[in-house]
Amino acid sequence: MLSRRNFLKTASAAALAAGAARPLLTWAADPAISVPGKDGLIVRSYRFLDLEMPVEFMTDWITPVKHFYVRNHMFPPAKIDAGAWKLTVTGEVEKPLTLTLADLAKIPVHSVVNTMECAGNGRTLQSPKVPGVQWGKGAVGNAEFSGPSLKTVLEKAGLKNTAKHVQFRGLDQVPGKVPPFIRSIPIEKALDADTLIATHMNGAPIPAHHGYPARALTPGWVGAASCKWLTEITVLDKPAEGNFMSPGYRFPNTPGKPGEPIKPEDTHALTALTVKSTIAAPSDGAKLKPGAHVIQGAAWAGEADITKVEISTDGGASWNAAQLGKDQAKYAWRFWSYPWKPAKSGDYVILSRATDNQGRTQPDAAVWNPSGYLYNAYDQVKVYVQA
Amino acid sequence: MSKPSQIANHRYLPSHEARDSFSAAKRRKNAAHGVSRGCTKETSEPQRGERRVLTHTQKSSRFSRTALLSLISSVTLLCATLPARAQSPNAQLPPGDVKEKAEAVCLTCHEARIIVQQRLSKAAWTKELDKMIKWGAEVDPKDHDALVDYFSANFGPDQPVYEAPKSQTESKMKSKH
Repeated sequence: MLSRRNFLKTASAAALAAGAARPLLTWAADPAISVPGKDGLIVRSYRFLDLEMPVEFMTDWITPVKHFYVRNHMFPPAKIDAGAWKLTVTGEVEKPLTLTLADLAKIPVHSVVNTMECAGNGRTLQSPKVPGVQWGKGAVGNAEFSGPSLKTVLEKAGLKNTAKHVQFRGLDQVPGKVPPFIRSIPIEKALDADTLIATHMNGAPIPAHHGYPARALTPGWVGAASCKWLTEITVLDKPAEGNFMSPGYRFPNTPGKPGEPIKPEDTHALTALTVKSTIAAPSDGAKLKPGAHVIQGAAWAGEADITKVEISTDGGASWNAAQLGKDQAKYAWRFWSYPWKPAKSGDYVILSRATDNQGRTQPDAAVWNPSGYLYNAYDQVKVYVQA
Repeated sequence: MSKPSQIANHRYLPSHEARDSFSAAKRRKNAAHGVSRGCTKETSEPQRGERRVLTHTQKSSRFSRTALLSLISSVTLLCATLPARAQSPNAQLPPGDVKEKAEAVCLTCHEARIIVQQRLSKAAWTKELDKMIKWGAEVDPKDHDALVDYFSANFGPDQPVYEAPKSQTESKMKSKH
């Protein structure tokens, strides 16, 4: 007969063992977190929604919408009535405009395949740690965006020669006294034919998570330059003001000491993405059998092109060129692969290092900055080869 | 000063939920033996009902002590390892004297996961709290330092990394309908 004391002892031991086993379960999908339209993404925050793509999904050159990362600074708008939606164009223009979706649909469509990356992607890897959403490696995706060129709409309104910046404002619902998400881009980038008012993503109307019914699409730049749920375009004679222009989204002009604050006057606004690569497979911590393997992933460089990706399987002592994939587009990532047959069992540190046609190469250590933006050190995974 | 949570890198179970999952294991064990109890009041001796069921079981299948121990262990292990029947997709703040204050002040705008994933020094936590106050968090000045201490103790630079959960897979969501 089992006494209560023995029962408690057994049960506690089992529960303790279960507690130790818990880390495996926190990687599992949480049944409580169901996000329609999204498939198995890492929940950095549910309210408001910040979802990250696990890097093992970085194997579709065009990222399906269900795997595309979601970044919200605040709350999305309530359901939008597409028929009632308006986009205004005002400021340093000759003729202010108000456009409906039907008006936008009349303008010839331009398509751009764009690798969009959050400025804070990789933030969790910064050392010392910084505040903000602790993105791993998957706040990035590549999709085809389509819609009228912003240039066409700006020319319709007629730019005054005082026009220097183009400001975007979206329909985000702003909680408390949070400053609204307002940012601007320089007029030169706004007038590039590839900068869009995007109404479609991967061939379908842009989903609510990604800015329905229209968003700015500033290709090759940090995701924050592509304002979602666009409602106001304001042409300015100088950069926009407000939190998300300063101190938000700024990068040190010269690297400072890690952990030390940087003066605002020693920073510039983030614009184009920098050179970067990510290893999609094998996973960090993977146990591999000896034999033939393929190390693979993606590399991108904002407005620049990737010229080479090099892989090290000995922690950086030696490097060899990976093969670049055939799929290419101006602002899109390039896939790469590297066949690998580890000589013997043991631990291996695999690194990837990309170079672009602006002559930039990923550094071995990222430039630390107080907001943890633009992390682009070599990517690294550790694997264990055992028979 | 609040004690750092022992499971700082996992989804938090508020202490009452952790207790309940253990009690649930015991209730399940009792139910399996034909004993239903409205409460989890402990007794030092097995109840008459249990003895009778065991005797009956012993007659039919020679249910040994070892087998019973394994059954109890597996049931408890199973209950402890199942994801807590989380009604909420949001994370929980850890226990502490100012936990309820932190919830009232912070969670009106965003969920706890924004907080629990941070790993910041006390100075950095002070800066973040002051920024949140600027952005509308209604912090009573007399609670300010206690809140900073609570965040620093639980989410300091030396805590293990927070392991974020994943959202449901598409196939799982579809199979529910």
